[in-house]
Amino acid sequence: MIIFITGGVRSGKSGLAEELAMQQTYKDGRLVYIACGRRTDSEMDARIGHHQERRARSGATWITVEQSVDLGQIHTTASDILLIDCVTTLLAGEFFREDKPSCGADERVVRDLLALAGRVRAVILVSNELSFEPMSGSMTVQYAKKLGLIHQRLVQECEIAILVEHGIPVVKKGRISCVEL
Amino acid sequence: MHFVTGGAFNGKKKWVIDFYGLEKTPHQWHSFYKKTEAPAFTEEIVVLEGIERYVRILLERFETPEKARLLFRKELEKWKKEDRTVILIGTDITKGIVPMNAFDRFFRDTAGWCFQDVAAASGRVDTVWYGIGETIKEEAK
Repeated sequence: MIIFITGGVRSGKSGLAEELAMQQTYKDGRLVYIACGRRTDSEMDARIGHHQERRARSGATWITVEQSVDLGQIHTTASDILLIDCVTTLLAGEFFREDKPSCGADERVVRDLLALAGRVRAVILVSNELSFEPMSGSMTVQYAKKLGLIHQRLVQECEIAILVEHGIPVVKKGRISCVEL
Repeated sequence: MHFVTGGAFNGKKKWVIDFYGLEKTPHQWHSFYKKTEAPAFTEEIVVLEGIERYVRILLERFETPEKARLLFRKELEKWKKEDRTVILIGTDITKGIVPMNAFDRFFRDTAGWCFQDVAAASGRVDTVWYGIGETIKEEAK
């Protein structure tokens, strides 16, 4: 099962994703948090720290994996719940890696995510809304186009798609039971 | 007229093709990304893609948002009078940070106004979010 969650920055996406992930677990299911962002500066460290603290307070045990390419190679078991945070940094990882062409980055991301979804209990995907602005720079356009194509595929494949607006989950596809953010 | 909008790379074009069954239906597809002039209509179903680009073309030609919008409205009136199914696809570029560059600000403003005109002139308006359409206006026939 795939749950796709998107929204603006600081919109409450990750909090909702964690709640939904914890709802999915039962018995021996592991909660695996896959962090795709790279530590690049102190601001990024603070961001990561903020997310780590919230998971520590959540009352559940999380296993954290830091990986931004080749997600399909992560070891999983059939009862796992994976929270992947987030698709935009994952695409950046695949887009800028030096050993493979950037033009196939979107296909690699989709292939890896669908492969993971096929062998675990649930995959909760967090992503960021694309901008509604005139885009400039060919690399930005290329990246945005790839992200848009990935989002279209994931929305098509998922059971539940949610757009988080200012902490309010707007369910675009499927249904969820009420959660407290 | 039918206005289909949403953010860039959200699957608007595919949605229109699926909704109207255009793979099997004769139609005229005009892209303002490829041609700068509005076409003469020839088919029962006409799709005009890249309305925001056409707005930009008019703005470059007429320099002020007011003049560009006036001309856009004239074109829109003509399209509305056509006894055909006319579908307009426009990428929403009106949300986000105010651009530094004055032309970009004008472009965004003009697009916002023109999209309001298109929505007002259209019997049906849909927004597309990663392939999922949402009807935000539908007039009784």
